[in-house]
Amino acid sequence: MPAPTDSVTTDSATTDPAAVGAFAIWGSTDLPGLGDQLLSRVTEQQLTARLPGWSARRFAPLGWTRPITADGGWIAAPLAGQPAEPAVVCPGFPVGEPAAALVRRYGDERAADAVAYFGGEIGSPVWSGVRISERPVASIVDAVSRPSYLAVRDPVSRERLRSAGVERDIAVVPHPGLLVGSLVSQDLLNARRQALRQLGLLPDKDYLVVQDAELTETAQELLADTDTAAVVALPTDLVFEDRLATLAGATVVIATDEHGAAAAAGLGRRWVLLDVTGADRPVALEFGYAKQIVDTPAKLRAAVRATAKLAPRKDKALAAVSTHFDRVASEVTVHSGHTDRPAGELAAENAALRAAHDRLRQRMFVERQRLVEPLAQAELGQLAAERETANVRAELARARAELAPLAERNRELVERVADLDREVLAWRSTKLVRWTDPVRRAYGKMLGQ
Amino acid sequence: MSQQAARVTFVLVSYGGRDLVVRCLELLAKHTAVPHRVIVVDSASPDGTGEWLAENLSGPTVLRMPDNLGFGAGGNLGVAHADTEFVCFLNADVDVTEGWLEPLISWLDGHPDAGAVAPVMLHPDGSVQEAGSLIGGDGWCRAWDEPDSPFPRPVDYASAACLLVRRSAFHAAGGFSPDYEIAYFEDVDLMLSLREHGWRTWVQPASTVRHLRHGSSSSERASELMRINHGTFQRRWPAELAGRAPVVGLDDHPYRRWWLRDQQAPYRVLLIDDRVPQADRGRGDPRTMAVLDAWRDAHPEARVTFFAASAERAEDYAPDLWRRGIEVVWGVADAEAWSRDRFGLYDVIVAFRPHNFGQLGLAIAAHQPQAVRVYDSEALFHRRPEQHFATAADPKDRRAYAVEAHRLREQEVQAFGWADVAVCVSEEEARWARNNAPDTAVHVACYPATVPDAVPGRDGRDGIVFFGGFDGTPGTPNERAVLELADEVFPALRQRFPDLGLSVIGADPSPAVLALASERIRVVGKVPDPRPLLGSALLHVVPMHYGAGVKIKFVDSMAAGLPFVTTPIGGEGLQLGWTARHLVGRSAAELVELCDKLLTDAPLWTDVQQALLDICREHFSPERFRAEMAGVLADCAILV
Repeated sequence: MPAPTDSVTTDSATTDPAAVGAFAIWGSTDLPGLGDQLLSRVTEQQLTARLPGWSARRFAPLGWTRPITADGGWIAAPLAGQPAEPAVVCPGFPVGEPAAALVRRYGDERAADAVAYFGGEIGSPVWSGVRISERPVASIVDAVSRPSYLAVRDPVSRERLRSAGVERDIAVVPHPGLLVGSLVSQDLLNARRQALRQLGLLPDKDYLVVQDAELTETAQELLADTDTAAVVALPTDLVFEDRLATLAGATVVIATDEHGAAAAAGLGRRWVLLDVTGADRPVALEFGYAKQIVDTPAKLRAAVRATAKLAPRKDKALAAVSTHFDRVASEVTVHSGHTDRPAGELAAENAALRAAHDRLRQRMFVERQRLVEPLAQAELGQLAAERETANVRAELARARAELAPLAERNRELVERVADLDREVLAWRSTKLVRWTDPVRRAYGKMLGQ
Repeated sequence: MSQQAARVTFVLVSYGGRDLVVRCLELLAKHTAVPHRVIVVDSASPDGTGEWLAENLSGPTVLRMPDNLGFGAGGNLGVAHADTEFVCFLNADVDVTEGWLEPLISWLDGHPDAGAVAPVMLHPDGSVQEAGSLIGGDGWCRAWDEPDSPFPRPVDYASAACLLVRRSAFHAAGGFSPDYEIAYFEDVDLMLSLREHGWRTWVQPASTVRHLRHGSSSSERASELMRINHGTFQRRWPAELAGRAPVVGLDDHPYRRWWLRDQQAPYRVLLIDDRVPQADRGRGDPRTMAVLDAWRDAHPEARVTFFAASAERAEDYAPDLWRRGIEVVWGVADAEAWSRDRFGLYDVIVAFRPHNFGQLGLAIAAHQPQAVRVYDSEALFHRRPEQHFATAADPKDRRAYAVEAHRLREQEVQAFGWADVAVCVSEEEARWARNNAPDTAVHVACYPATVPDAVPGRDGRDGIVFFGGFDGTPGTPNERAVLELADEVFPALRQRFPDLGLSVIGADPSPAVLALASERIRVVGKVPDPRPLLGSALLHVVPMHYGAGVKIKFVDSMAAGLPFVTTPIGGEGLQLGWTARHLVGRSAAELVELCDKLLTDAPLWTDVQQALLDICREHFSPERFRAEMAGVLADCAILV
């Protein structure tokens, strides 16, 4: 069997060198079903929230070799080789199926290899809220007996294990998908719904969702009972987030499998489950009422009416699922050898301190800009003033340069006048002028001047 | 094209411009070796483009919207049909070029927190059009078109005209918001949504494309759309915009550009040294590089700027730093004006060596009054002229050395006093610094050297080596040392070991060093990696009489398991312990005797080698250096 390949990165955490630990999720995100996406996503989100600093690696039978739009880019690696990290099993389909069933489910012979993972032949994974197939393969009996915690999501699965010879404690936990509300914020769901409306994939008015398009016509008859204007069939190839957004905006959800019912319940929507085979009923009863589960379309109307008066049972179920993930997280740490709890606590504390430090630095940077701005402005002003002064000085120098020839001419003239003055003074000081002065004055008087 | 192997789906949203779309797809096919898919979403082109594309394109998937819902809605529709790990938005007026996609994919593969990465977009004339963009507090954006920013960095926003996005991140962020009119700001909004959900957007300059900018709306309509969407953007992100400087008026306030560019960096550090580090040429640069690495490695999104006083070989060595996301600056004539342009930007300023402190550090720090000031001494420089003073015979030279030593001592005292945090390479030098600058936190951070798992023993080793850079100039301490080795030590050793050879390893040998080449002396010059040569020699001999600080050459020698023989100045700070009596001699005659003993006494050689390896692991390991630098960074309030 080839080693697990990383030719496609499977998530943001796979190459995180700072990770405290790592765990694998063996799911079925390479299938487009709502449950295939929902269970793996919720499991990863719940465990990483409980194990700060840990990274998750996603695996699925065919993984990225079977690209689909529904996974929204949360791409899994193909299941192959011996797992390196503790694994959590949470596919949308029942575990313990024979290879032929998996091949039928995938329509691909390669899926047969995955039976070793979902049938307990490889590794010692944690079985997290799984369903057990009707006739589980023998190897699973030993596999589910190894971990100290085992949880299935319906009593029928527990009975199937008991019948197969499993004697240990088996917990029954409500569908983990009930925690769907922790995956995507309400604001984001609203935005996605708005975008779907923009593209014409959702009506502008209130709508009722049917998980199976074949029920669209039947559901038209329920519009009046639900005070709703339109019926929307949940597309099977729609990106997971968009499917959640569609469900979250529905007045009522007519689910046709346990996952649709769990998602609707987790999102706080009124829901009814049409379960013609009776296979999903035990699961749905863990978080819903019998009145919400019908086996023929003819009973839908009564069930929908009944939902209007039912008090949601979600809170108790949510608490049970939350406790379940506490146990799974604990199992993961034990399997990985990280029994020293402080590693996780330190990672959380470290993350909190870093976040606080980052916020502080951001505030400091903004504050600094406010403080520095006047300094910078003043300096720019000073530079502008200095430039102005330099300009004036240059202008002055230019003017002085232009005036220089005139000044020189002036200086020469002044010197010449001074020379003439000195010459006149010298002439006046001669004996001839001085001595003839009385004579010239007398002569002047004589002339009457 | 194998769909199974495709990692990227290209999403083109068209509105008219059939020829452009066809041309774009042709270039995409020509220049994109990575397996990919193409989805063209036509936004109800009025000129029949959508119809034509649907009928004539065989490879791409063509989706046609009934109305012109714009780029955001078209992008959302395209991505909804994608099944690959990445999606790449591409405008039809973008010309991709050879090898453009691989660096972008490689970046997302190597950076788990990166949600999106963009190439640098060029004008048709090759000038930079946009290397990411700034988002101002007024909600307007400004393309970053500085030509000297060829290093990858996180950005506020990069245009979706060409943007590779992790598909999971796109959906986690909610895709393009439908709150916007048909064009403008929807991609800016996406970047902020990505960041709000923990994903960063980067620009990777190793990838470039040409953007022709053929708008499909009239300028009047475009202005109207921009005005409307700008208002929407401001309404949606008030808190994000609150702490930012406005984009309007940036030209009158140049420093704000840098504030906005580095707004999201966890810290901004400026390091000032002689030249862009040339780690393979010695002269203290390997240590500068190690310190620079420590600042870089502390946070991938920090802004690390290296200011080189000299442009020496900058163009050869800067690209390696750029690849690591380090901004490199050189050729600045007016450091004060340069710093004024970035007024108040830096959290930390690190000045290496006293002359850089005096000539650049003070001028630059004057406009960074908020920055923590770090002086990294590399060595106590005043000790070199002191050593020359002690050995010079000419009174005139002695006086010159005394004056120089005094000047450097004063400058170093000033530098240590100026600094909030100082770094020395040995505890002895740190003590001197603490005595002279009691208010400064003085750390010791020497140099990291990795001891390989397997170090060759004595068997198979041969000859002696000299290792050190020469700077191509006469009179350097290394030149003096190798000349003394060749003239006084090596001939005496040759008399006792006639077959002994000497290899001189080191960059830029001076003419006098080159002239040493002979039958028994090999002048190797610069080698890309000295470790193989150090690992094959028996002894490393350096009779150096001038120098300060810890000599990195001996740390490298220790890591290679190569015993060395040197002087007390050469052995300073090396924590030699008992091995000092076998490795340190005061005169050429003593060095000859020490070499003789190590060359003939194999058990002693082996004991010394083991002791040196232990010393290296304890005092000069990368872990030790990281811990020492973590202390420096912590004193600068930086988390590691």
